Amino acid sequence: MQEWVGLIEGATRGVSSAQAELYRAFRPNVSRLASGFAQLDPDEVEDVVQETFIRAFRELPRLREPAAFPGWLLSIARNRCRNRLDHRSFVTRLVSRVAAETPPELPHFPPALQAEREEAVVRELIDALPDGPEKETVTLFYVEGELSAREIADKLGVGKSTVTMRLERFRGRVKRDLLRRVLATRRD
Amino acid sequence: METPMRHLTLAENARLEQGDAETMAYFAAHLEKPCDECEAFLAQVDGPGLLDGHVDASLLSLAPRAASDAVVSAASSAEKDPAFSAIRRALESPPPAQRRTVRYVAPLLALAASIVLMVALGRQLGTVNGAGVEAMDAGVKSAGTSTLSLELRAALLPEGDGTEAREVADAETVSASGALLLRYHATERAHALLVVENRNGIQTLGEFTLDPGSHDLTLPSGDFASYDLSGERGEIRLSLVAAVRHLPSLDEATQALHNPQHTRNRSAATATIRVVVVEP
Repeated sequence: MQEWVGLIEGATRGVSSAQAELYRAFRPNVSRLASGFAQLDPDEVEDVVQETFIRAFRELPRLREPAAFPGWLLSIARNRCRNRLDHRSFVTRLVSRVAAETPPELPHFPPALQAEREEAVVRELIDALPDGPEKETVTLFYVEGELSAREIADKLGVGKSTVTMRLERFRGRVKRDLLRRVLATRRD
Repeated sequence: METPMRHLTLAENARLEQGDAETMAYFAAHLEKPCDECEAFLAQVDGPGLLDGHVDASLLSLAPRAASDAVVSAASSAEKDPAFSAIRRALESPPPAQRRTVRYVAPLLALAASIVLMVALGRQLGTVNGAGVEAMDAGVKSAGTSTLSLELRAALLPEGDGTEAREVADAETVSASGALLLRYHATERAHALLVVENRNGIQTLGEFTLDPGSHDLTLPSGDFASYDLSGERGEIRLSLVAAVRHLPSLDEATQALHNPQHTRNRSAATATIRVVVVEP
């Protein structure tokens, strides 16, 4: 984490080499997140990557907690993806398009939990899935990590939106579990 | 009597964001078990806090790093990456968001000025030049005399960076690319339901707490609430249905919007924006 602090401080001041190193370090995950939206073609994924880093570097002066940078960057990326998609759900029709993705004033969760990867927990959740299409999709995308959601749709012979829906549904389950842990930590 | 089960909503999410102890305790217990409704909400709505980024970071850490990423990482200088060069060029030019904000503020200031003028002219409001605004006094019974009046205006933000928002006129024809940004005026603090009526019927978009005066309609996160027009066709009506003492239900909103003559026990005020959406 210490290496990030120096890079983030430099990137905040607009130092090109610091921004370049952050880009190099975090681009793979940003690209991977965007490629989980099967409706986005490869060019759109690349656009999302660009937009994400542009937005992040512009808003970086407002980031008070360097440790929050990775999660915050991915939140921006997810917003960028959603803004490009035509969501039908009435909840996601309320999209923040004008406001910049400004970092939160204060972290709402314990710093220790922000830094913790929860990898073992997520693997348990995947293992607990019943054998079937959802587990296969999640394993291909998150565990093997070689195919985009579009490529997985082609491989499995299903629609692009089906793959995205499976990934989002599993992601919702992971988010519920992590939220439960965070709330339990705060309660204790 | 059994306490009704609560699920995650925008309002509950906002309370979690604010660190409300009771809400945190409730959902710490509720989320112990799988809940389809809460998981669907969490999948679609950001927050609370930076949880989404944390979730994504955890999920994305499972796979081994791709060989193509290793090539990028091994580059002698990321600064020479053409994609990064494009990012640098964008950073060195004025940010589109700022241009959009500056131009967005100007139309809304004009809206605010005209709304103040309308309120000063009296509470009886009908269709107003320049925007379709329908407002009704609520006639809320309270210890004192309390009436709630609402007004709603919209600005159209076309798709693409660097374009400016402009006020939308009543029943104006607009393209299906872009989004409507909403601004309201309320005479009192109230609880409001935002609904949309389109070819699919009437649907709830969200719950809001309205402050007295003129304000942009915003989400709990502080982001502007906007309605994405992509995929819409024909006339759509965005309405705020509000009451001082309670959050109107969808049924109540439907009654208030479609039976304006049913006023004897009316406790909700409404304001509506109409646009006709055509293919881009």
